[in-house]
Amino acid sequence: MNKGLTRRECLFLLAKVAGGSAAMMQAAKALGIEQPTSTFQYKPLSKVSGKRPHVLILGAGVSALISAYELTKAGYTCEILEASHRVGGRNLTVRHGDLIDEIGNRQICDFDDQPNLYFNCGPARLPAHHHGIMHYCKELNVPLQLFCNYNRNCYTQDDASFGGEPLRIGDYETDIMGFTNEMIAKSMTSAGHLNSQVSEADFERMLEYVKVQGDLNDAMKYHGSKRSGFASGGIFTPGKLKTPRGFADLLKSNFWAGAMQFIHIADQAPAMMTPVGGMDSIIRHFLPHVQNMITLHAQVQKVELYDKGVEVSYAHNGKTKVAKGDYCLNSIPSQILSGIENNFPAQYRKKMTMIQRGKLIKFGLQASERFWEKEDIYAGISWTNQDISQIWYPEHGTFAKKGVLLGGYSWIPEIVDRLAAMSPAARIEAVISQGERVHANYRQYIEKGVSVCWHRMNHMLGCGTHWTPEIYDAAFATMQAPTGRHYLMGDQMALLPGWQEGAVQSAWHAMLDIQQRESELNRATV
Amino acid sequence: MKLLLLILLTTSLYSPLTLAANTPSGLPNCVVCHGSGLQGNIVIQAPNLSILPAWYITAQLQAYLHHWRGADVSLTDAKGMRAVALALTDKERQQALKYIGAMAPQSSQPNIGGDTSHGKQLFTRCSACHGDMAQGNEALKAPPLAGQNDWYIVSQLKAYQAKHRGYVKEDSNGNIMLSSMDLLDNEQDILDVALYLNSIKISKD
Repeated sequence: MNKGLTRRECLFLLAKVAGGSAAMMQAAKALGIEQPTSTFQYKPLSKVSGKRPHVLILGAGVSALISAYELTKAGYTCEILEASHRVGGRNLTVRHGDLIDEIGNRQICDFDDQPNLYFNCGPARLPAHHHGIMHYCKELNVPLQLFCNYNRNCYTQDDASFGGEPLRIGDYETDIMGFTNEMIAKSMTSAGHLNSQVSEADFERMLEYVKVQGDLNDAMKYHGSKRSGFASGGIFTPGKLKTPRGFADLLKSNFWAGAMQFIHIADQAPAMMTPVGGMDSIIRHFLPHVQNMITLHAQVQKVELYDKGVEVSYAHNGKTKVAKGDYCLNSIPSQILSGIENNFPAQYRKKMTMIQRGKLIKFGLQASERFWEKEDIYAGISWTNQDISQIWYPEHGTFAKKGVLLGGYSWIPEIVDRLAAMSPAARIEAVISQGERVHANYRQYIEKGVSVCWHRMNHMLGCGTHWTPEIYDAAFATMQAPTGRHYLMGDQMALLPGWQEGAVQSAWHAMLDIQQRESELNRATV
Repeated sequence: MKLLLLILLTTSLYSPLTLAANTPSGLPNCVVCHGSGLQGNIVIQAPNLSILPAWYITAQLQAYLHHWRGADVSLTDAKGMRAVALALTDKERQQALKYIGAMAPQSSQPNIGGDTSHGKQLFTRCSACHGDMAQGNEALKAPPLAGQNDWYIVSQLKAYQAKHRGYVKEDSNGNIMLSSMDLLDNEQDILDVALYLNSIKISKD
């Protein structure tokens, strides 16, 4: 019963909620098994002198825009080829009238035409320690606001406990911490501790810690706590404590194993930030600087390395065109690049096909009324063991008439496959009926919704890359290094799947290498 | 005032996000999954289309529409293709067929381990329908297999074996292939024959 989880077991459980082994690597960092090495100190690229090298940039997501922005500042010329109809890559915020270009299931977002009714389909939050992307938000004056990843007024719903009834996260956590610490206190004060290595003074302090952590009474018992709010009273009459739930029931829920540990993952820890008005505000702030370098609907058909640079053939307006660069920064997702004709070395090609695309699906729902506010929820995440996994409440637009919820967010491949196989309409129906397990009155408020199934999106066919330790060891170094004058970049080339920080850092990794080559070239000519 | 300024700022910056019309154009979607030469892409599990004749592609699009293919829950990639088949307009289908027809046949790189010469020997059991050189036979509705990606041949033979493909009564050609699975005795036979087919250098028609 009181057998402690080993860090490895804890990792396994986290993997269940955070998804895949790439997330496991992040969790490993969070648990101190692997230290995060993410450092970013901005230092502009050295200016190139003489002939300005031309850089071809493939894809127009975050890594591409940052590269074009920095390289042109340093005197390079840049050209961005983007296959789709838009700029931003997986940084996608949809509003009224926007196209969601899923292959075979094209949708037009039909949210009402209101500024607060938007949905971040890709990245939605910015961790404070993601110094790269935060640097650009600061430099480009992207207004930020707090993002809420943790709200004790949100719900946890698990079919395995409490008859499937949703419970406030605050109630759940207060009770399970109370009971757990009561157990710890009991075992500490049993005779066994006399053999312990800890001094008497330290032991007393540890016991006090357990008492505080669980909000135990002086007899070291847990009989409820005002931490979960009072059942009644508390203003003019003394508050009456809620009756705690049964410890066994609390443990039956999977919440403690996954979601309850979520905010202890370094990249998910409060306080987080998000751009005001939608994540694509970052893209909008880049555009004035790089817009004239971008060609949309430019679909790359061939990438050829030659000794002095890279040549790219692409289809545009029904014609095949050719672009040449002294360098090529390529953010085309590896799963698509694997199908594009190229003359990469055989080993490079082989390793590229080892990289596993991630699958992830998100749902945005427009609600006729902000019913969650009536339940004291103004932002944050509810958790459920239904396929939808989460419901997010918007941190913006408080007290507006309507709002857009995240109605589901699934990252476990089997679940994503299940939902992806449905038509867009059937997906929304499934999402609403599952959401009803959390909010009984859900259906009456949900007016419409969109689904964004990243591994089916045109020109994407995947979400955050799955770098399992095996694939990482076998392929990462090769794929990160340039082949000729061609560099693979994007969040796919960092162990931060789906985080824009990975895009920033991978772009800088490539740019610093180019800078090094240019400086060696200059030294050679001087 | 600050809020108003913000709204003005965001609206003025809003439009350039989509620099061109809100409709994708250009190459048919086929190339996104099946590769720039339609040679297939193992990462996406999309097969080599460049070797396939229009009659077979038409028949398979129909098979997806009828849910003869892509019905089983486990066939997630086939489900993706089914969504495409459902969404294609007649015009788009014609465009796609034309595009595929114009594409030079692409050979495949080997991706699996196996014994090519044993595969060649085994293939004599299949050649009555698929042709001596696995060039296909329209009269029998047996597709060309020469140059098809080995991993795809394996996945499809296994789908027949598991009755995920060819099991619907109305799918008479699929039924024939399903019942022909007896011709391959074990997993190694499947790999060998797939590797052999993958290795055949091809020309269309």
